[in-house]
Amino acid sequence: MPRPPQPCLPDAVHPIDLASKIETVHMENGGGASGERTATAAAAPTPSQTEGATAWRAYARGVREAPLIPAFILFVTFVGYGAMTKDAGLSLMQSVLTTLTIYALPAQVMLVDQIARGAGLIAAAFAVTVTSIRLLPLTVALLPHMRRENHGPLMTMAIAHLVAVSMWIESMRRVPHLPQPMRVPFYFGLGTVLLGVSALGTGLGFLMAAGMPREAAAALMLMTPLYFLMGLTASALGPADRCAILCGVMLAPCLHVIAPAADLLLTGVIGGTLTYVIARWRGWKG
Amino acid sequence: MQPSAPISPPSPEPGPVALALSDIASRSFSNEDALWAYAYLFGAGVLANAVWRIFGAALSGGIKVDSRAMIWVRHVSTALVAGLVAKMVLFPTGALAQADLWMRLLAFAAGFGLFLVTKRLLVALAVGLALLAAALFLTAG
Repeated sequence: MPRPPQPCLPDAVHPIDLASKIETVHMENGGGASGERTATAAAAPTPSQTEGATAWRAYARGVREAPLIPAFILFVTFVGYGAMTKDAGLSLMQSVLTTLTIYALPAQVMLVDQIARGAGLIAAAFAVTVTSIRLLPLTVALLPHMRRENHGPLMTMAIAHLVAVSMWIESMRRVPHLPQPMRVPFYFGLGTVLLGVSALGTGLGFLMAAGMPREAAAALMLMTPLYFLMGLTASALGPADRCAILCGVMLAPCLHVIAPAADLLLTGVIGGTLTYVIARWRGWKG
Repeated sequence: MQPSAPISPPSPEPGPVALALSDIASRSFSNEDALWAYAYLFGAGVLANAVWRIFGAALSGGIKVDSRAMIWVRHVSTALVAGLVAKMVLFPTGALAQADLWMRLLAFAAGFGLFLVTKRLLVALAVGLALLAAALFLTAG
């Protein structure tokens, strides 16, 4: 099948992308990007020195083209997360470190939730790992676009570490269209901004948690699930994805009552399998 | 035929090592012991999360992205995150638990409904959050 391995989201569908698209166009009209493209083309046959310069320029471009609205939402969402960590009894250092070393909001929220409930190490690890299964398909879908022969395991891990829902949405749309040598540095540029903004938000949220009015603290904590559902819906590719979302939303509360220890895993497996069966039966693509 | 390796019969009383391990396994997070706090965060957070990225990186070399198994995995993960969303709204912890169920549902539904209609993420978020804050503020004694 000539279909691309992971269909990129049609630009018009994704509201988050509008601002970044405008920004991209602006950047390219600004002259910097077009100059870089010429440099990349010229650099192709020449060895490492020029490649290094190209890498830095691609990195800088990734930083500059980082989409503003998702970055802002991440920032505010992580402010909510930071406040939550303070409630659970983490220190500022621990709070920011969890963002830098985990960088997957559902898993982090799950971890802090488990801590707040006084869960034991193994129970918490299980809950977090069940939540993080989501990263597996994202990683598998994204990494082949950036793989090069000279990548060691450390480089591969660095790329994989930045895989998160927001990063996946934003880079799947851009990275595959870039020339091969630019992809990884561009991706790191994007990741620097999104990870940096998340860490800043976490720290700020932690520091503001004490002085925050309870209405604001509660409202910020609603932001995370709202953002997730909107992100899921916005990146849904077709009826099958929407069916999976619906199954998940309806199954989770029932399973939470029936089997609270494994509710999310069961929700995923039952809802996902149900969606898979329905999709095959109805002949939905994707 | 090799003789089977001598395995010590399971003792009726758990040994000291087993006791220590089960103690660690069920120990909850506490900042009274800084070393334990970081060990807990690393084990239950960083490691538990990173295994899927590592596994995904290992798989990405060979797996076909549009295979049936991948489609199934994507549905499973989509349903799982959607389930997480429902759980966070219906069974909240921390500050959000102060808001009554009807406030959470109203604010969430209003925000998400607005998003579905207008496709404007920022507006939808702002309205949802403002509604919840207002409901909390107005019902406060």
